[in-house]
Amino acid sequence: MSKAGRFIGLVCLLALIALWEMMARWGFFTPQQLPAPSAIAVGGWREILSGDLPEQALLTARHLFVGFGLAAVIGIPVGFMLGRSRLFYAALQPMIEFLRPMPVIAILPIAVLILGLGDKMIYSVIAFGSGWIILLHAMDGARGIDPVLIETGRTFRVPRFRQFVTIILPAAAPQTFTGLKVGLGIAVIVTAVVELVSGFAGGLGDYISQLEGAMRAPEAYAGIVIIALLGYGLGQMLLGIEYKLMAWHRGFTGR
Amino acid sequence: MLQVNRLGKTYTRGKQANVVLDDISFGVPDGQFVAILGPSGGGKSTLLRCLAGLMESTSGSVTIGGKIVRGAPKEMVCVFQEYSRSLFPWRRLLGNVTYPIETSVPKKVAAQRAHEMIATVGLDGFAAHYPWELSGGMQQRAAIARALVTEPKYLLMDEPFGALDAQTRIQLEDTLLEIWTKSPRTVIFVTHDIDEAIYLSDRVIVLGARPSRVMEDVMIDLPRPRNQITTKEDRRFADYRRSLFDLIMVPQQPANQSLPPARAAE
Repeated sequence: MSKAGRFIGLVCLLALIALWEMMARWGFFTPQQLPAPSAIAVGGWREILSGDLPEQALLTARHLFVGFGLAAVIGIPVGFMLGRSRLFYAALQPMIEFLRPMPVIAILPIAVLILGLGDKMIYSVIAFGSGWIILLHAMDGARGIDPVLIETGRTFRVPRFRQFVTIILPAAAPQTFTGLKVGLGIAVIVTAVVELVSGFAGGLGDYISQLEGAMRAPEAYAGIVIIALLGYGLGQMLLGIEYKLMAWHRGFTGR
Repeated sequence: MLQVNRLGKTYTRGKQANVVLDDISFGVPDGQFVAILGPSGGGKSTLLRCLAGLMESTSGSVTIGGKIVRGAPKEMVCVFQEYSRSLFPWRRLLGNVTYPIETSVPKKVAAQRAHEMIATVGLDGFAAHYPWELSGGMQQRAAIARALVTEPKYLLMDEPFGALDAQTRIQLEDTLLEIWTKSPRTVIFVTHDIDEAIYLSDRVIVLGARPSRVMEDVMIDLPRPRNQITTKEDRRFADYRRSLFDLIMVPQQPANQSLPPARAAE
């Protein structure tokens, strides 16, 4: 983005926060419904100093990182295999179409039954929730590779492994990254939901619901802001990697 | 010597069998420049793909030096019509040209040979460009450089200049002839352009509309080096042109009936 573009974005964000602050002070909504940004900042700061918020944030970061990482590590290779092998696709596609739309909330009790109450269960549910979209994008990316590229590899008698590394991987990378970006958004949501619903996992999701129950809205909102920041940070990391690896693609597509 | 023996290719879709190549035989002595000429939507590209080992024939065989070839034969490389889709957009020009040799020779040697080949096709100074930063003609030059860097004995070209504008095409024809004259190798050049076939080749093999058979096999007796003006003004050029024109155009009537299905399956 250009400097001017960034500036406009920042100004709009600050204007929205200012508007919110004024409306809260004029009493458009009660502090329990929507506390003023200043109140959230004060409450959040107090929680940070007490060490409570950082501890929960770290826990959530771990859940998110491992769960999403698992989704990527499983989703990408399986997606590539499905995309490149007709047999694999024919064998697994019906199963995937059946499992994919299953709501994570519905999976949760089963996951608890199978994996028990623990980190393993939490990671698995987050991976389940965010893995499908990653898998599908990797699969589509690998399937949609221009046949001329594949034939080019064949006319140079490139062995299978080299074909995978030098042709299939780079050709499917742009779409795979799209899957990762969408999947990350889902992983953030699922992480918060699992923490909130499971009741034992801890983390910001749990923290928010407890403070909400204790009528401490500013602190609860501070937790929400931290979750958003976590997702944003991880997203920026992903964009940074994509930016480095995919310089050719920006030029290729003229962006 | 490359020998094609009674090659046949039939596509089957459901119960419908579509014969594309029917009993094709010819031999190409080493170093010959052969054009495969045929109407649009004939079996030319299919034939080339069978030769290149990119497609399996249904019957018959291809032999090189008497040995039957399976898969993509050694010392044979195919240049595709779709240059923009054949080059790797994530590699710069140099990386594209080193690609076929970078696992078989040291990095430095590969780069050196690639630079030489880039100069040979007239792309000096563009080694650090990405393919999509080059024009269409330059992209096809790049694809030719990448094919030639492997020093193939057989160069197969599938309508390589078909998507280029007339001027660029003429330039590339002459570049190709120059390169071929310096280091003669067998070239099998598929085209639907009669003038291009005569201008470039030692010999023109005419394939008919589907099912394609060898309709004519003409030696082109025109002096080399060829010249875009004088060669094409030559009386014999006009004679070849007339006889090939009749061959290509006659079986096409009624043209609009045989074209659409053929094009779809090519």
